[in-house]
Amino acid sequence: MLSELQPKGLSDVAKELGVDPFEVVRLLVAADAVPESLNFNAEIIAQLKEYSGIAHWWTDNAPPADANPKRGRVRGAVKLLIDNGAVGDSTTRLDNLWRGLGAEDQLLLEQAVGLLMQDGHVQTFAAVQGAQISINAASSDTLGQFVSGGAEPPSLAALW
Amino acid sequence: MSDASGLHSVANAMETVAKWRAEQESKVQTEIAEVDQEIGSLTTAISNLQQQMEGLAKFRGELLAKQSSVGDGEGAQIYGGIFGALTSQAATLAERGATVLAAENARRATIAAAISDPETKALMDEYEQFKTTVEPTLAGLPASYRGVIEQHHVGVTEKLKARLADADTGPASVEGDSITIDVVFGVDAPEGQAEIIMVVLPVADSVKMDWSNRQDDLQTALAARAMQAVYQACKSIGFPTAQAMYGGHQGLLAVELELPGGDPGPIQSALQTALDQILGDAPELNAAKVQAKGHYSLVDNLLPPEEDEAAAPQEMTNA
Repeated sequence: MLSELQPKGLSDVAKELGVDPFEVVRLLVAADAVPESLNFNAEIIAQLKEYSGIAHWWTDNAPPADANPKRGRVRGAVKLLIDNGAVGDSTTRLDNLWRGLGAEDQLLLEQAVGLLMQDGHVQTFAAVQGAQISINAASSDTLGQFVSGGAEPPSLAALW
Repeated sequence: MSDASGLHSVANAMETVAKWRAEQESKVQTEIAEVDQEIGSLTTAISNLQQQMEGLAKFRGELLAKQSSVGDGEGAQIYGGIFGALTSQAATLAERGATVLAAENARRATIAAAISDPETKALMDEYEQFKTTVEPTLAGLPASYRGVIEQHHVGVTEKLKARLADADTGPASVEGDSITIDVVFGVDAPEGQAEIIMVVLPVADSVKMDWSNRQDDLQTALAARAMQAVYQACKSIGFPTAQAMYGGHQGLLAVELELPGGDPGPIQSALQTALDQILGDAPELNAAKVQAKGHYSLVDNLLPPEEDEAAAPQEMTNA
């Protein structure tokens, strides 16, 4: 109980945010928020969350029902991008797509992003907040239909 | 010779002359023989010296050839020297980390004791009661009641935090000599345009690769401060989105960052400045009596000799 009231260490912050400790350090530098000591109070952690746009989408969301679980996971991820407004100029952290998932699902979604990029459906780029992703505006209808159970982008078939 | 009257004959005089001449010739012959012997000795000596000269000239040639190849092994020597020193420093840092951990545990015990007064204990009891008994039932209460209770809990929490902060005297200090630690870095500029920063830290690669299963320690602190410096330097020279890749190299944590088109001079200068300043100011390193600084090296010296494939660095990853 006492530890709840004390500042957190670097790895505890990393676990809370869902990134590794050195990404926490990178974000602290980017946000000009490095504390004097490597102990972090709730205010700094909240500041980092807001600055980085880190989100735990899968905590309260499950993939849609799908005869193919892999396709269901990818549909769910694309739905989360759409639901969170990551379309066109509005972006989100790339790792929000798989934060909290196991290694197998993470690899699946990384591969899916790669294929969707090749097809021009999504775009990724580096940013101070961390690697970003958004759906190309011209592809929002295509991917929206895929999320709703319609036809999948042909390249994704390689994943299942 | 003379007769009875004592007179010398001419014949006798000639005989005497002949005898003198024979003696003189014999003397000269003896001297010529001696000189010939000396010349012979000197000739032999000169011959010996000539052979020695030829031997020395040959040896000199061999030394010149050796001199020109002395540098061939220098890279491997430097590489071995750097990683040998860093490995030794990593072991020393780990030992100091164990000392720091013991001191940190003692510090926590001191903090716990410092807040054991009745008033603080009552606040702690109230805090725990809220967490275990009240909070789970809050959703069922009317909003007005809930607001009052939550506001009261925030007050209790703030009071407890303030008491904890007062009792916390900062990072645990340790006894012992200062230890000197190097964070080695290089800037790769293949054609005058820097492409890669390489950093090798005297910490185990598990500090990054297995971070979620480790407890934060002195190695974590050193690595975190070094990366703070690296990112600060990148930001200061116009690469705010640089993203490090990590890997193990001889069991040590190695870091690479790509800075396409960067200018090597300013990059090296910015890294040196940031490393020395941030590592030097870090309170947890100072409390542990760790004097860490940046040490520039050519990138080639941070890579294993080509024939030593077993020492090749692991694949870099940002995961």
